[in-house]
Amino acid sequence: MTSLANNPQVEENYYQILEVSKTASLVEIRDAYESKLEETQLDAFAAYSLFPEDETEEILLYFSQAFVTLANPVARAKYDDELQHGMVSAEMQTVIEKEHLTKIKSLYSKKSVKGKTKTVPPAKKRPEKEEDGEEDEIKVNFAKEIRAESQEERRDQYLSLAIKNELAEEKLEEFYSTFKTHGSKLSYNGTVLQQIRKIKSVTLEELAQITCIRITYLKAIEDENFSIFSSEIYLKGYLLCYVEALQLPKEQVLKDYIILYKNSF
Amino acid sequence: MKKKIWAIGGGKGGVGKSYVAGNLGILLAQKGNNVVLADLDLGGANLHTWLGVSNPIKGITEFIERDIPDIKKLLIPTDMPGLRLISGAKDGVEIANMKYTQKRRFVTALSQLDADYIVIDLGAGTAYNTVDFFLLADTQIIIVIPEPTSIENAYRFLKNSFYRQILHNSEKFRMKSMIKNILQKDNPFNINTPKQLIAYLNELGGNAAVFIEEQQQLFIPSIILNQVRSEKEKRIGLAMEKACLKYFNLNVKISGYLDFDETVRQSVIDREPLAKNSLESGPVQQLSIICEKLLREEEQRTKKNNLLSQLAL
Repeated sequence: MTSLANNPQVEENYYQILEVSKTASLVEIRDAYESKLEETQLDAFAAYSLFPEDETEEILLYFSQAFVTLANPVARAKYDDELQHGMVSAEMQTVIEKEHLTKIKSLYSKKSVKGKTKTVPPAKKRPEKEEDGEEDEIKVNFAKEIRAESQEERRDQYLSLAIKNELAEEKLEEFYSTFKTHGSKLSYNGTVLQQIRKIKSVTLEELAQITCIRITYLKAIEDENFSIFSSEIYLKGYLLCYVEALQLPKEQVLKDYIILYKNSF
Repeated sequence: MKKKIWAIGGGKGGVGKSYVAGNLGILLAQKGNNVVLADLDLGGANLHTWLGVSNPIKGITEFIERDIPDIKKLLIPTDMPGLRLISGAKDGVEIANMKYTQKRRFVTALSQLDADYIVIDLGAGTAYNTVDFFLLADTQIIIVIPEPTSIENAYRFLKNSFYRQILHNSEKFRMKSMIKNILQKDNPFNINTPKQLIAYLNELGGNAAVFIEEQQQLFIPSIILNQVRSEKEKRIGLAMEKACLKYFNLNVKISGYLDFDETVRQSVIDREPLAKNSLESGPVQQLSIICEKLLREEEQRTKKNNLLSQLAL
């Protein structure tokens, strides 16, 4: 009876969740996410005094998961493939998605990539430059308009990010352990996020390309410059993409970070 | 045609209830109807000033206390054809403690007036007094502006109205004591929202389920979103419909939007009702569209009710 209002229990695929067509461009997908954030914001406002907070969070996680998957050409191709072969709910997809990404990550982080290419869906030809697997060879595209980017270029960006995430794992462990040795508890604030990003040697420009979120917002997240965000919902919506790109624990980051936001009033 | 009562309420003060009530009254009169505007903003009644009529001498209190047995004596003519006023300006806040039977008598008297429409400006508040008058009307309008406090007030008003409606109507279903128990704070059923109440009574089944189904049907308030400043704010209307269904399990419809407009404020300051002189102005046209929609919806309800009563025979 109450199914019509943002009910995350409904089994919808990511395209249905964002209300875009299967052939939607990246720009369309980003705009769809943007308007979903706006809608959530509006719903929360219109249901003022009725809307439970954890529900907002649930909805945002739901939308952001759809967005980060469809914005990532590698993940999207895989997802499409599975959808076509009669896959189950979006919930299940997420798990498969993660496994898949982990697989790709490990593939590309190793020098012996060549023999294993068959695990990558055939539709997505692996970019040439990846063949040598040299980290410093990876070209990052700084194109201002994502409209201008080709699918190949975007694939490049994601693969390069996957490698960076993978290669930084040890360094990140070290970083985390410094907290332990100092006896302090790690809390994901803006500075910590920035440090992690730098450990992974991901630039803000790269992150902006990947997430389709403007640098000003990403920088504001790191600087804890909250006034730039028109509402908590937008902040959370962007933060979730930031966190996804750097492969950080979503719920933990959200929890730590939003406390900072709330205390800033 | 049977006489229709329209009530305009909505919790928070300053959201434009009197403005909407006054102009709706004028619009209905301009359509050739015989309209009585009743200012029940007790303690803050000011429609008489706005309509440019002299201070009323007698008030509703006199009628309630039977000093004036005939409600017609309270009617004040205005300089607009077809529009007369009943003002609560003389009545203090103490009249707010009117008994339900007194309210009924008052509303019955109102509905016996020689008029096609009675438009009631309820004033602020979500107290029983206001809510009861609201529920006795054929068309029930809540005014909301896109601000958290106003939205919260609207929901409180809706919730109180629904509870109050259920309580009044439970008697004939012999469920009054049960409903009373449920509606108490910290009730043992742990029911805190209309949605929970509906679900609970549905689960009980039988008489209770029939009763609550009927009450959901009978609950007919509609919302006018006032002082809208952008396209984005307009969408708050539909989002509120969605929220009512989701959190209350109640069908509350948006009747329309009124743009924020400086001329509106000026018209209130100048005591010049907009609908009286400037028919072409944007705000009046918007309200006129809403008025048409309310009339259509009311007609549909009447038809439906007539059909239902015919079937019952």
